[in-house]
Amino acid sequence: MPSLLQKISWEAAAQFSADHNEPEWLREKRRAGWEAFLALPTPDWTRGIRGWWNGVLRPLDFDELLPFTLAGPGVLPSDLDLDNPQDVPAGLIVQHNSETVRLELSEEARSKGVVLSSLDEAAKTHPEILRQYFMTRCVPLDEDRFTAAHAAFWSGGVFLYVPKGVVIEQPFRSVFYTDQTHAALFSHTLIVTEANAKVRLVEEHRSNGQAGEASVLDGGVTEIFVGENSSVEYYNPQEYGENVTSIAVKRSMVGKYGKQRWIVASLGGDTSRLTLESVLEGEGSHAETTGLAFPVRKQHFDTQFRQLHVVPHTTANSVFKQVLNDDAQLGYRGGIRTLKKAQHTNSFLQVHTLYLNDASKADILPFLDVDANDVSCAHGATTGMIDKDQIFYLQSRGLSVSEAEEMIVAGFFEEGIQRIPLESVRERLRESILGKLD
Amino acid sequence: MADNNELIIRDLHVNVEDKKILHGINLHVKPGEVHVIMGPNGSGKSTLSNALMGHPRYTITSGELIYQGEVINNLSPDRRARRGIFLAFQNPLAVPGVTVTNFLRTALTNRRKGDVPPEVRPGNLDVVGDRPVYETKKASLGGDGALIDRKKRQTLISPKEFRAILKEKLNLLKMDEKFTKRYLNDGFSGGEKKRLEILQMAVLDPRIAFLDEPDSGLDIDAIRIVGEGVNALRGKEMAIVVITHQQRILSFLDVDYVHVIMQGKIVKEGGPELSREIEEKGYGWIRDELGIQPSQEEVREEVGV
Repeated sequence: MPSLLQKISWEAAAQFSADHNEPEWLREKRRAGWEAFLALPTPDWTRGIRGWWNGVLRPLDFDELLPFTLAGPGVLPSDLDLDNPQDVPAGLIVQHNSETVRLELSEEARSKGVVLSSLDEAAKTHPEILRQYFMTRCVPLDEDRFTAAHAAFWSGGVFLYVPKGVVIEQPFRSVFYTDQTHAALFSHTLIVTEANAKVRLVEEHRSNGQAGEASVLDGGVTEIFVGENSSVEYYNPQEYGENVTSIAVKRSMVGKYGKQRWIVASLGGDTSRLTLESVLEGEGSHAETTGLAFPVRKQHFDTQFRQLHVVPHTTANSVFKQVLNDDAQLGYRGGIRTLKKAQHTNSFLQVHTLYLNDASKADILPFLDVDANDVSCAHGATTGMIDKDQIFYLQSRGLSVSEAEEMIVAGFFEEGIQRIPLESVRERLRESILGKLD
Repeated sequence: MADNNELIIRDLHVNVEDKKILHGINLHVKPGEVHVIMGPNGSGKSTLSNALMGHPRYTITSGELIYQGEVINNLSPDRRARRGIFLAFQNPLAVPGVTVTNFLRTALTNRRKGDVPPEVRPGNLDVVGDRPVYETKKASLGGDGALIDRKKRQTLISPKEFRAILKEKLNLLKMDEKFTKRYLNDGFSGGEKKRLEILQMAVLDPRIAFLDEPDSGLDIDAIRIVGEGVNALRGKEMAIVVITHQQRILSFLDVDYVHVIMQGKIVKEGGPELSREIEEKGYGWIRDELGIQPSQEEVREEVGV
């Protein structure tokens, strides 16, 4: 076997596909992705802090990046606490660089027909499901240049399938970890539930890199299909090192009476852009979104959120909480979009932004784009420094100013964090927020 | 002198944003005493308590706050608190996401450490008296086996000891444990906020506590709960100063001294009988006796607008 081609090139993608005995249609998909990647321009994301995307994307040299990186000899961070007996998930899948290195599934989940595997594997075991759902109408491969590259160069991946009527309360867990410099990781997660099912997934993105080291790209995609009267909860702390550019698209298609819950926390990465959307396409469906972001030092975060109401009688509640410090920059553009026939929509959006200093910058744009005439939609935004009276109140109980600030910021995020189902993940997130307050 | 927990307020003048509010307050509070400061709205009662605690918007233009034999005019609020000064707020603020338990555990840890100026605070302040009261946080290992230089987390009073203290105080104040799992004042009713202030006072065990209108906005049952709570806490060591413009809570307390404050000055002092007189007759007679013109705010209040 020839040595692995690790380049952003069609030869590399074709060779990977052949080495993995991928079916023809999947190879064609990679090919279509490659062609779209060549055809599409690097996105001109002028929103956010004006112009900074140009500055970020230009130095990201695709020729320097290595797709299909092996797990290598590195060890996973022990603070992932993967073997904590108090905190056993219903299933666990770990991807190290581009390889799946660990896969476990509880007896209960297995016996009820739940499938947890790499996407690689699922392409062989469940080709019909993948053909229907993988980068089709949820996140189409030609959405932008990064999703196109994703379609051509993805590997590993997470596939979680829950059959009709199966309810698993115990959360599943997936981990993406990279310790390879210059890696081009294209993490992919596909969740499909049939009718009357319930599943919860805690998914973590980690790396060992630090600011100033050779850059790493993750062009991640998460696709979720919520079946009729089903419920999907997706919890995603992103804690990449500060040499990672993360450009992620996460979208859920929610069927009749389905429920989608998102809790996403952007903590890591040098540059992190998140496109997040729930498409309420079934009557009576509901989405609940909590977005947390905490850029510090020179981190640039950007959130593009859309709550899309397609059909009548759908409801959503979306809350974003963001804290900035040091020279960090944050762009937020997010809103509620209701199509003309989406009457009786009930949808609310709040965006709260807290500055810890004067140097950090945020550009916040919440919007309402409503075509239906009988709806209840509203948004509200608050922006400001920490309330001085709150600090005084805590000081009057003996906390120093910095202790008081820490406590207020931790509390600001806590309402999102406390809903994450795995205690060890919650604890680590709290630590990592406190760590960012140093 | 440091053991002397007397508070002496000497000729205190306080401005709030360039507006003169207090014009020379004198007050002497000794351990174990219960004082009441009464006065109409806008007379400067809350200004006095905020200035005592060190609120940054309240500027002492002259005069002295003397506590434990030292002038504390320039001490930060947290250092005053660590020395044993407490203020129960009239309108305590909510801090969402911070549980009462976590907050109080940190606060009690600091109170026990006492006042240590930040520049000389050594790293080994983890022993109070002769017993260690703080747990240590174990270091975490990184993926490559290296010790991650994580933030050296503050070492707190042990959960076990803290729970025991909290439980004792909850019982004393006849409060439900579920209080402590909620976020600080977040979604609390007026009465719950006042009770939580008293719980904080009980846990932090101050030497002198100012209670700013602990009875405002409460019905008579809630006032009794707060009043009895305060009574349960008073002792030989703790002095209590209740600031109020009504009398109802005083019937639950054994008051030593009453001070009447008007237009930024203490204009009359006496024993508990003075508060009863005010309850019957209002403040008008004191004004008449001393020839004070009522301020506009006081007039508005008394005609019930």
